[in-house]
This record gives sequence, structure tokens and C-alpha cells, in this order.
Amino acid sequence: MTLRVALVVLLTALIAGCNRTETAPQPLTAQTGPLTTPSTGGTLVRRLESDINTLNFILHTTEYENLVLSYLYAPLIDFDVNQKIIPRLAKSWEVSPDGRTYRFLLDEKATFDDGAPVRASDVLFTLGKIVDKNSGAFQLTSSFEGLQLDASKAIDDRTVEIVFAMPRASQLAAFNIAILPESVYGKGDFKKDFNRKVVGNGPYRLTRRDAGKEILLERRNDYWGPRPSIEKIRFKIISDDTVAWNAMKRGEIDEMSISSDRWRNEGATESVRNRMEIHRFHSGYIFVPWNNSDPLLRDAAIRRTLMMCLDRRAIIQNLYFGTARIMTGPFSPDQWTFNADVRPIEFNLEEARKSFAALGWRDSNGDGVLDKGGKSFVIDVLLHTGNKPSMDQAQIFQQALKQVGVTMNLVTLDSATFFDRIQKGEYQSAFLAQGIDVDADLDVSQFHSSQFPPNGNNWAFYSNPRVDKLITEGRAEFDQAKRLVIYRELHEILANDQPYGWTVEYTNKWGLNRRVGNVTVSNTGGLFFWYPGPLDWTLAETASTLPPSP
Amino acid sequence: MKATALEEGAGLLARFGRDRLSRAAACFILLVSVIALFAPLIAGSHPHAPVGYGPDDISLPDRLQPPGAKHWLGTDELGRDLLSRVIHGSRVSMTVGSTATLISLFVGTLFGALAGFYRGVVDTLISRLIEIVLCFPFIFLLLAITALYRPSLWTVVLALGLTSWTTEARIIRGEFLRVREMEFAEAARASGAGDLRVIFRHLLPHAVGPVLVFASFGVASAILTESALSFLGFGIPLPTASWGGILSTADDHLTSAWWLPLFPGLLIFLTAAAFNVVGEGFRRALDPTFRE
Amino acid sequence: MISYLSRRVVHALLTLFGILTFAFVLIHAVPGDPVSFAAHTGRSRAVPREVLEAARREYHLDEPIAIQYVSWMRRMVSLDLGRSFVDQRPVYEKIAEKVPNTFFLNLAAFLGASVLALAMGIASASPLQRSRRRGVSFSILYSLPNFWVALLLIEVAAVRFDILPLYGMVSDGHDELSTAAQLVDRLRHLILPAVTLGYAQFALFARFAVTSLDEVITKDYIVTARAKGVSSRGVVVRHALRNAMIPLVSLLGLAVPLLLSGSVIVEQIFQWDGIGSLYFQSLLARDYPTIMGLTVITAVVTLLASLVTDLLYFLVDPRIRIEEGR
Repeated sequence: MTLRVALVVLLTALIAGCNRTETAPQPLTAQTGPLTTPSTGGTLVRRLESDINTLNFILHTTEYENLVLSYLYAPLIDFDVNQKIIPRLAKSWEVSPDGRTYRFLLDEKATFDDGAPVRASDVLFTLGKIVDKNSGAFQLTSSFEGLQLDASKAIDDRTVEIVFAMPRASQLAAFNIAILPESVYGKGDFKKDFNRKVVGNGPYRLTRRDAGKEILLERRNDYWGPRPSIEKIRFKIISDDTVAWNAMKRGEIDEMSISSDRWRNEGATESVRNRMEIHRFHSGYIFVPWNNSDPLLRDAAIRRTLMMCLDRRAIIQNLYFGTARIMTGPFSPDQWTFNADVRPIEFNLEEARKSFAALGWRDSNGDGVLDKGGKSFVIDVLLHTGNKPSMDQAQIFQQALKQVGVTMNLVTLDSATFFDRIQKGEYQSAFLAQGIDVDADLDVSQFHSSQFPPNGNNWAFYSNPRVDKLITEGRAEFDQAKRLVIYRELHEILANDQPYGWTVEYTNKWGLNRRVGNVTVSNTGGLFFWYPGPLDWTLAETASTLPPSP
Repeated sequence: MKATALEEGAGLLARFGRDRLSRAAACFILLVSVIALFAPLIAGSHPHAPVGYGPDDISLPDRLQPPGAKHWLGTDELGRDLLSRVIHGSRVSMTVGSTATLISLFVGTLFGALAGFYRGVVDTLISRLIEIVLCFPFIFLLLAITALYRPSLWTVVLALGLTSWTTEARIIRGEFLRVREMEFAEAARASGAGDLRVIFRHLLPHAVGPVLVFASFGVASAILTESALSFLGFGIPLPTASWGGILSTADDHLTSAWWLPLFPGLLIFLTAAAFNVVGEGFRRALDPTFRE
Repeated sequence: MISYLSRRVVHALLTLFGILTFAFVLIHAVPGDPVSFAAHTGRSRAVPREVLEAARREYHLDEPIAIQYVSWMRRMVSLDLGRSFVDQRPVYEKIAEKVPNTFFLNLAAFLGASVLALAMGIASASPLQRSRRRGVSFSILYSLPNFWVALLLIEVAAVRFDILPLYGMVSDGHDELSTAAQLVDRLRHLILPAVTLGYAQFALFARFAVTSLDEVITKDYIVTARAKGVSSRGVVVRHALRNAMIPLVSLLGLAVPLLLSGSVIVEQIFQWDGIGSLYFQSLLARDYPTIMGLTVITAVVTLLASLVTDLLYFLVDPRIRIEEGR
């Protein structure tokens, strides 16, 4: 996929008036100005929760790899603080009236860190790798479905024309990809030779990598774009949250994500406040996919009734201290496609009892569990290890369901087993989390009936012809107003059908050492994966000499 | 060798009971066992329970309350009464500890004794089996068992029991190799006693000391391993209260909710220590050289 | 002796074969495969079916397990452990990189534990001061939950008093230090994890040393030796210790596979980049070649250790006769 991760909220205005529009390269204005401030040098120490497996952009799968790569590459297009698409490697672009052809003009100053210029042929090379099913581009291939490589061509060294079989409204956002130099990546074994070394066109280059320990990047002196202020980036791999938190409090790392409880309990203490500033931003949501092909869960009324037993307001109040929101459907309130008329299913055990009874589920044998036709209402919910927020919510759900006579068994599995069971449909319900995507189409495509595993991510095995039709229409529609109508209806239908039980949209609490300056939090995008984002940060020289907290 | 088994047992208990620390430890284990057995009566939301909260009674507004008049040991991250949870958690620890150790003791002693007594082909086969099991890191087997079957208390017990018997077997085998050469063993065999009688009547009492010590460590170790598994996320499934489980969720609250890591940790420690002290007492009571 | 040795080696090879077969079948039987794991880590985007199938074909996961097994065995016999599915690196290289880390950590823990334990055993195993309580203190040490202790040690030594490093194997500026300072830096990082890993071993060893010496010391031949006028300390060291070595030696052999599962938690808490965490990560990611590679290596080391243990039994206690020609 793109240089952005799951942390992202959708851009508001996707390709404003996009037919035949060329977006003039917007000058980096005063608002993003700090990139022009003199270099302060210094080393920013970032935390990586897990080591990375590859530095090959095409092969990368995890958000940790994405994070490191975001310093090493300037993607073709990028997103600004408001999630609007802005030029980066491409200075400008045009989209043909039929929405099938994209013409990008690359920045003529752009070079890779081996000195070679970035050419149009490199773009074609990279796209070729993305659509080649043998190159293992797990995260990227689906975003370039229908790419016609034979019809695409380099107009000149700096201009490239890319042709698709059908128009797709989310396509431009998908070009948030790194471009690899063909001169380097075209030789040798593509899958084996570029996992430990990297040639990028971004503001930093890799200087050192100690497997399992750290990754060190250094600012490129020959970088062609605005140079960031910080000289070196050190990624320290610390998988344990408690260890990282201690290191954070001592100033050994400069940033980390903090759990709601730590934020609540320690965030206000003087030593923590002296050491760091904690930023908050929405970043994703938790949901319970119901296996719609399961006889017990086939009826939307049953799924809605089940959701009456999850007290989301209490969860938000007590587990997130008010820093989360109820999700009513596939869109978050920050997205332009959000349908505010859709009301959340409220927690009401009395209503749930009545509703189950109306659907024929009664406790006829007096064992405390509802039954119908001799079958008890017992469902399994799968959880994967280490997912603490889900564990808490699942236990709260279980407790409430017990009161209305539904037995929910918690089954904790390791991730590989967990996803294997879900892929095969061998489950009834589960707890999952995902981020808001860069385009509404990507948020709802998982409800299309063509996406049943193993073809796609329709884990709920949900099928509704009207939804299929709307998804297909929304994908091909470039008119903002018409798209809005489509997605509002989708939101309503999905909220009513509850293929997923959406729970809450949570916030990340991100601690940043006070020596890090010039930090901007995007309303919709958070701290990372927009431009300039972290590339804008500065380091105060004095701060490193702060006395350790008592 | 004239004394009946009953008399021997009584003598053993008497010798064991002479030590004050052993007595105290045994009493502690007894207490924990009684609590475990009657946990639903002691702690539950029914009107007559001394501790009026069920172990799974979630009350979000009461989460992370420090110990006080209402919740004697405080509450956990979902507002459940910690006292009620540790009372019910004793069932898990006692079941895991005792069952897993019984399995490993039984299997280990049997295989070890057979290997050490018969040597030759029997020894070769058993030793190969031991080596095969030994080379299987516990975590691999546990992952396989929980992934293939539904994770539960019994998958943990089974994984623990079936991987830990090798230690007992090797110790017993080593001891048998040693004692079978001793004069009294020769004498027993010369007197025409059957193999089984020689093994269990004459040799085992001399060989069993170290393994009993180890078994007592074993109960403790099973309890400790369960908590370690919970720390890695592979312990007893939620919401079942277990000491290890509580301890692992406490990781987030080390500084802000000291009661969460403290009480279950202390209970794990005390229970494990009690088993070790009792094992120590029994070892001495069993040891023929202490009988004078 | 020679024929005994060769027989043991043949047995060991058969055992190795059994272990590897069992491990191979078991890891492939466990649900989830490396390709679908990679497809689901972190991101929610769907991976097209053809891409997944191509990846499975590349790793030969689409072939029957028997064929996969035979080809893996064939490569293994020629000492080729293959490449990791996760990062395409040779498995051998991945393991070799971590072995020193785990080795030195465990060596430090083991040496510290056994030296202390033996010293304690000799010091306390004098017939004059036989105490009924002896060993109890070790049991108590052994009863402490491992990660509880680790967190406590960190809280006290690293957070409150700030005298030792929190985590990792070296400090940030390690490379710029002088050789001596580098050594000190490494040792400082070694202390907390080694103590966490070693205290239980120490308790176990000390417990064995003390009880075995206690037991041995009352045996007839020792009593006889003492009656002959040999000083009691000399008796202990010359006779008793040799016999007490038996259970200790047998424990030594057991320590090897524990390197994999035993140090997972310690390596996790102290961010120690060893084979324990590699193994755990590989299991979670279903990285078959790395799991099998680690299984081969631990199995070989364990079997070697067991061989050596048997030989030591023979050397330590000559009364155990090896029956030749069986």
C-alpha cells in the first residue's frame, strides 16, 4: 500500500474537481516553513515496537517498516496537514477526463542517494514490480488493480503516463508510493538482495542497521528537497511497553505511544510533564466482525440485538477517559462521508431481552441461557494475544451478554492461528482493529460480496446486492457530491445490517520529549504519515542536559 | 522391613511433623486448598458470602481502586474485586500445580525407574524418548497444543505435564544406576524378589529422594510457569481468574496500582515456597539415613 | 569404550531424526502459514489471492507435506538450513548472529550460579553443622516469579537508583568508547538479566549440592574415610563432591533446551536480542525454516550434552559399568 499506515484518517477533499485538473505545485508556505529553518542537528531517538524484516518498499508489510521507509523515500504524492493530496516527488499531475490516465511530472532536481536522478522509467519499473504477482507486493497490489502496464509509458525522462482499465476515485491517493531506482533494484534477486540495504530518494539515508537493536539514518547532504532540521534518526527497537516507558521517562527515547491508563495515571505527574508533552489524535477503531454465514448470526436483527449489550459509553468513559468515540458504521465523524443521521445502537439490556424474546430466543429450560429449538445461544469470540483493549472490551461484552442469557466464550489465540481461523470462516465473532483509510472506497470495499476470503477481506461473509452496487458506483464516481450521497446511504445500510459490531474509535496518546520542537498534530492525520509531519520537527540543544526527573 | 505400609506412613508423618517450619508450610497449603475448594462459597455475589463480589463481576466505575473498606485488596482494571479474584485464582494455581506435577511425577518415575533398572534396550528406548521430549522447547509444544485445540486450563496442564516429566525421569534413572549397584540391592535380588518388588520396594525409596525434592520444586515451578505463560499471553484464557493472569495485566500499572502486582505475586511466591518447604520436610522424613 | 561411543552416536542420530520429523510435522499441522501471517500483520488492505498463491508456490507450501519434508531433509543433510520466509536471510546467518548474545548471557548466569552453589555446598556440608533448615532458603529464592523479580530489579536498580542500564546489550555511544570502557559497558548491561536468569539456577544448584553432599556425607564409605582420620573438609571435597556431581552433571545437560524457551521472558523484558526471542518470533510468524533451523541446532547441542553427561557419569562414578557389546 502507500507510505501511509493504518493510522490515517481520510483526506477531506479527494482531488477537488478532479476531472482534468492539474494540481499546481503548492509552494511550501509559511505554515510548513520550518523546513527552511537552519539545521539544528542532533539525533532524534524514535521507538520501534518490533524489528523490521525488509527495507524493500515493495515487499514491506508492517507499519514499522513503513515508518522507517517514510524517512528514506519522498513518495510520488503526499498528504498535507489537512489530508489533501499534495505534490512531493511529482511536481504536478493531470488526470484524463475519463479518469483512466494519470500523467505525472517528476521534480527535475530529484535524485536517489546514490546520485542518480529519479527518472520516469523508475516509476514504470516500480509499478511493474507492484502489479507483478510474483514480486510479493502484499500491501500494494490491490491498490493498482487494473493498471495497464503496456499502455503506460515514459513521455520523457521526467514525465510518465499511467493507464488503468477503469476509473477509480481512490487511485490518486494510492500513488503515495516510493519509487525505486531501476539501476539498482533491477539487478540481482529482487526479493533477497534489498532487505538489508536500500537506495532511496528521501531526505535521509541508511547508515547502520543492527538487527534486533537499532536502525540509524542520517540526513542526506545532497537531498534535492527542503532539508529537515534534525541530522540523525535513531530507531531503537524496544518491544516491551514498560521498558519503553521507563526509557521514555529517562529521556533515552524521544517518543512513544502511551496507553490510556498510563496517560491517565502518570501523564499529569510533574516529572512526566517536565519530560514530555503528550499529544492525542484519533487513529483507528475496534470492531467485532460477526460471521454472517453462521446460522446463529445470519439475521441482522440478532446482530443488532447483540450490540445492545455492549455499553460503549461506559467503555469510553472508564477505559478511555472520554478520549474515544462511538463508531456507528464504517466511517468516522472526521470523514466527509460520515452520515450524522445514523444513530448509534444504545446499550439497553431490557430492550435486548425483549428483542431476543421477539426473535424466539427464550430460556425455556431455566439454565440461564437463551435457547430456541433446543439449541442454546452460545457464541465464541476470537481474540489475539497481546491485544489488551480488545480483551477488556470482550470481557465487558461477555459480562453484559450473560445477563440477558447469551453465553460468549473468549478464545485467545496467537495471531497466525487467529487470522487463519477468520480467513477460513471457522469462527463466529472476533475482535479486530483497523485504521481509517485514505479513501472511503477502501473503508467499505471489505463489504463487497466478491471479497469473501480468500479473495479479499470480507471476513464477515456479508452479502447485500444493494451494498455491492453502491460500492461499485462509489469507486468509479469522481463527482464529490454524488459520492457523498452514495457513501451516506452505505453508512446507513451497513449500520442497520451490522455485519460488524463497530465499537469505538480510539485515540493514540503520543508522548514526545520536550526537546522535540515544532510539532504539529493534524486533526485528521495525527502526528505521522503526512507531509511535512515529523520531517518538520526540531531538536533543542539544551534539552538534552535537562536534569533527570526525581 | 517388617512394618506395614500404614505404620511406615504414620512414622513418616510423625517424623515430618517434628519440624515446625514444615508444619507451618503444610498448614498454609491446606489453607490454600480449602480456600480453593470452597472458593465459590467464600467469594461470590450471593448474600451469605464473606466476600460479597464474584470474581467476574465487572464494575467499570470502580476500576483500579486501592485497597480499602469496600474492596479489601482493591480492584483490577475492570473494577473486579481483587480479593475475590485471588480467592478464585487459587483454584487455577492449585489445579495446574498439582495436576501437572502428578502427571510428570508419574510418567517420569515410571520411565526413569524402568530405564535405570533394566538398562539395555529399555534404557535406550526410554532415553531416546526423553531426548526427543527434551529437545522440544516447551513454548513450541504449548503453542501447538493451544493452536490445535481450544485453549483452556487443561491444555496448559497437559503441556506442562507432558514436557516436564523428563527431568524426573533422568534423575530417577541416574539414582537407579547408582543404587542398583549397592549392597542392599544385590541382596534384594539375591533373595529372589521379583523385579517389580525390587524396583518399587527396595530401590525406589533410596532413589526417590532427589525426585521428590524435585517434584516439590515441580509444583512451584508449574505455578510459576503458568504465570510466565500468562505474561506472554498464552496462559489460562480470560476471564478465568488466575494469579498469573492478574500479574500479567498488572504490567501496565506497576507504579500506579501497586496492589495489582503485589498480592498475586506474593501469593504465587508464598504458595510455591510452601510447597518447597514441605517437599524438603518429606525428603528428610523419607530418607532412611534419618531414621535413627 | 569405542564401541560404546559409536553405539551412542548411532542412537543420537536416530533420536535426531525422530525429533526433526516430529517437529516438522507439528509445525506444519499448526494452523496458519507464513504467507497469510505476513498478509495480516499490521495492515487491513486485502491481499489479492494470486499474490498469496504465488508466494505459497515460491516457498513450496503448495506441495504435499511429505515432499516438503524430503526436500528439507535433503538440504539439511548437506548442512543447508534454507532461507527465512520472513526476511529471506539464510537461517544459519540469522541464528549465528544471535547465538553469542544468548550464550554469554547464559554463561554468565550459569557460571555465577554454579560457582556460588558449589561454594555454598562445600561450606555448609560439614557433618558438624547439619541443619534441618538447610536448603530452605534456596527453595524460597526459587519460589519467586521470574518476571516479577525482573520488573522489581529494573524498578529498583535502573529506575529508582539509576545504577544499572534499563535494557539492551550496549549503550548508545558504545562504539566510541575505549575497549576497556566497552567491556565495562557490556558487563553492566549483563548484570540484571544474568541475575534474573541465574537466581533460580543458583537456588536449584545450591539445593542439589547441599542435599546431595548432605546425603553422601552419611554414606558408609565417607564415614569409613573419616574414621581413617582423613580431615572432614578433605573428605567432602575428595569423595563426597565427586558423587554429588552426578545430579549436577545431569542438570547441566538439561540446561540447553531451556535456552530457547527459558530465556524468552528475560530476553523480552531486557530487550536482549538472543535466540529465545528469535525462536518465539519465528514461531508466531510460522517461519518454518528458522524454527526448524533452531530445532536442529538445539537438538544437536542437547544430544551432545547428553552424550557428554553419560561419559561424565562414567568418569565420576566408575562403579557404573558400561555393558559393552549390547
